[in-house]
Amino acid sequence: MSDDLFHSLDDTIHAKARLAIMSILLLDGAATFGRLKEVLQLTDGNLGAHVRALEEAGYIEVKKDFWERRPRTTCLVTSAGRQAFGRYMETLQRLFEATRRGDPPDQA
Amino acid sequence: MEIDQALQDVQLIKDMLRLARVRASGGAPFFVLWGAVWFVGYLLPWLGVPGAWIGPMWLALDLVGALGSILISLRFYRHRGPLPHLARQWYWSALIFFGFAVGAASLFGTTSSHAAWALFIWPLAIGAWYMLGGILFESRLFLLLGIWIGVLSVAIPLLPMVLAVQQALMGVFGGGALLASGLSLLHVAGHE
Repeated sequence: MSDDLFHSLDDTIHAKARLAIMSILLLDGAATFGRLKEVLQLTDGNLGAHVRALEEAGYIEVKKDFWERRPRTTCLVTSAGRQAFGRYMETLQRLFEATRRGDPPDQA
Repeated sequence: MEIDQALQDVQLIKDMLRLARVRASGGAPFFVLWGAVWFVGYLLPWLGVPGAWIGPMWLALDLVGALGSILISLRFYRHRGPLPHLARQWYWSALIFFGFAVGAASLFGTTSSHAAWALFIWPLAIGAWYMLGGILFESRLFLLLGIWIGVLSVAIPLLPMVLAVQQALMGVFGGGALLASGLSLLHVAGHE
């Protein structure tokens, strides 16, 4: 089961930067590109790639507008993203519990 | 043990997610709280409360609502950081709407033939405040709730019914609308 659990981890969220992006968005509700870049210490290109990956998976939506005459990009988590993150946390929890029990990889 | 710590951390994250879901529900706890206040308040005559006690009871209910709102804010919204500019403007605008309600209710209250209208001035002001919120935040729910409450506040006093029945209609359809909206939002947020 541990093997199955590992494979069922959502690859889109599992990447470190994307996990951090989803965490920030879920707790704050929304975050600007600038804030994400500041907190995660990523380059524009790197952050942009991760944001695009999450957007293409339907986990976040990206809104562009103007704030005080400057372009602003805001990321918001979607309902699908919230559900996916919840499933990811559940899978992690089950993995840790299986590890604590000492379940061998080929047993559930 | 590291695994135990990891499990605790995952549980902490899940707890924080639950709080975040409530926050994302768009003020649902406040709708539930004030919907209940209105529902009970407008049905006070039907709960056997003597007429002379209705005013003090409303004050007590409003106090419960105010305290409850503070507790909800502290529980679910404390860590959000400073309010956005639009939200601050909307909250401050409440002073104008509620000031109007106090003034108009006092005015109506002193004219015996229109004293009953004073009971519907407050929901009218709140409906208008919600409509403003709906426009500022582009929220269809706030706008529709505001319109619905506003319509009730104007239409109900015009109905050829005794005051107690009019109040019951406001409690059920006004307070009920707030309650139903809040519970519905929480239900949707809980299943996300």
